[in-house]
Amino acid sequence: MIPLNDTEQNRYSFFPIMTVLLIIVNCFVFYVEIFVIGDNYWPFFMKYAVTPRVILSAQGAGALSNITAMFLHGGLFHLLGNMLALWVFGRRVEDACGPWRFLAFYLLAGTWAHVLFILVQSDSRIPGIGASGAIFGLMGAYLLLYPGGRIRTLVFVSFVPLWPRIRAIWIVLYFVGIQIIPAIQILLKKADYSINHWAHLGGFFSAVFILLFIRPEAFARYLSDTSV
Amino acid sequence: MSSLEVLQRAIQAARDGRKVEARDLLLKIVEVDAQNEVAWMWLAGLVDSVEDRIIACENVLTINPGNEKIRAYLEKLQHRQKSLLENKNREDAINLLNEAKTHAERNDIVTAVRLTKQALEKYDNYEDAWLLIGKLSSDIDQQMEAFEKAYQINSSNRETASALEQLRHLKANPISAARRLEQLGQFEEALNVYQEVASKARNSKEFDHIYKQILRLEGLQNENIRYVAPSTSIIRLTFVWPLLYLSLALMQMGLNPFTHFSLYLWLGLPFVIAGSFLLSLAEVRSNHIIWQKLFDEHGDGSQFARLATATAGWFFIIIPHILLFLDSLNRLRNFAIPPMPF
Repeated sequence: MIPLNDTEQNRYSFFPIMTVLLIIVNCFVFYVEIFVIGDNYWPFFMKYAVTPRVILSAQGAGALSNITAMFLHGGLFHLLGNMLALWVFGRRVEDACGPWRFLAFYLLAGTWAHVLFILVQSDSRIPGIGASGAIFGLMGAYLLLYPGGRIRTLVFVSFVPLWPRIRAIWIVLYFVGIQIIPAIQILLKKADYSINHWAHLGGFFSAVFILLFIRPEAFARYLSDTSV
Repeated sequence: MSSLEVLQRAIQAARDGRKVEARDLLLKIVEVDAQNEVAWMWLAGLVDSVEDRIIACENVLTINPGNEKIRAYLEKLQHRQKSLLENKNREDAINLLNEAKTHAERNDIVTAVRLTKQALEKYDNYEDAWLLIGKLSSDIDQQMEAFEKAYQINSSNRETASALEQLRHLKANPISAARRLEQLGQFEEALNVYQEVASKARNSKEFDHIYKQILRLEGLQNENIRYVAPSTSIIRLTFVWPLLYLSLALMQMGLNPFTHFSLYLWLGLPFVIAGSFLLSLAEVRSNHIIWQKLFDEHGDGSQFARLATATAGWFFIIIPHILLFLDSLNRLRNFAIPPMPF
């Protein structure tokens, strides 16, 4: 299941400038990772990614690494998957918030994703990277703001590609649902995953803050049970 | 007994303090001789009510218009009667206004306005009543009239002067007035103002701009969008940047603000709160006192005032964040990179 596009129109703005800027910055940072840092990635990640032991001991770049980690990716598919999701779920969340508050929410969701990751895997020395925590925040926010939203999604039925418009709730539930079992296994220390499942859940739950970030009119619409 | 003897007896009784007896005797005299000036004069001092005393004095003056002593006494009595009546009316007006305020608190504006107007009929120089009318009325002309009256009564009331100034500004800028009505949740009234302004638009560009506002308001009305007060929006949006700053500061303090306490990170928080407040204020159109205090402007702030406020807001927000990241970079310089665990 690959979400491709949100089929609904924007209400307040014409162009999701901050979403596009975030995608550009993520791509640029990935370019730097590949072509400038190259094989010397370990010291770079230790400095600019979120490593629970480093953060908890108040060493390293702290708040700065929390931000930079959101722009680092482990591979091309990691980057492409995240950027696609950022485009699909970010566009209308940005429309409801306005660009600057959208950026603030994105960074807040990424931060709380890291907070949960650090608290659950406090012994970990493995650096956490990726925009997915923040993007799960956007998914949660999208669900709160547009519960009836539909997403054009690529699905394969017996290797046959189809792209129906699926309700966002099913897509979000699917992506959140597949985090739960691995997250429980990590919590019980029964498995180790290269995917940061707790960060995803942390980001998703931070979506509760979205109502503080949306425009006054969007907030009034939300309270009136009308589409935001 | 002759009438002179009766008069003498009545005067004696009055001097002895037997007022009722004196009054009865004098009344008998004036029943027989209505032109008896002395009897009326004595009666003017012996009857109980102010009204009866005035009648007695008037009778004396009818008989002898040159009686200056009685004329002065009559004027005094009339003045006293007037002030008694005013006091009574004032008391009635206070009671009516209190009742009106209770109705206004219950949002029963129609009854509140009716009672306030009744109070004003009783006592026209009632400042509080004019102020209440000014606050309750949705018509800008009525509001202006009420505040002008209140200002005439008490020109030292700064709030009245400020409200009056603001109303004059709104009258001169009907679009601001419409926006203000919208802020107060009075969509119907705001729509009326917009429609009136649209009908007087000077060019098609101006008309298009107003027409957009009309469409937007009609849309809000049709969709039954709830009214959210601007102050609520300002408070809500003020949380945005402090929440982010606090989260980042916590990360900087290793998620343990007690063990890795950092005073200057906490000191940055009030600045971010102030900045976020200013930014919200610049975005949410509201009739905030800051526009008047800082920019000497009425209404919801001019473009310049809002731009200046937003700039100040960004300044207050960005500086603590820059300091936070500088601290991060400083820590990074002393950071010994651990070896790869795998």
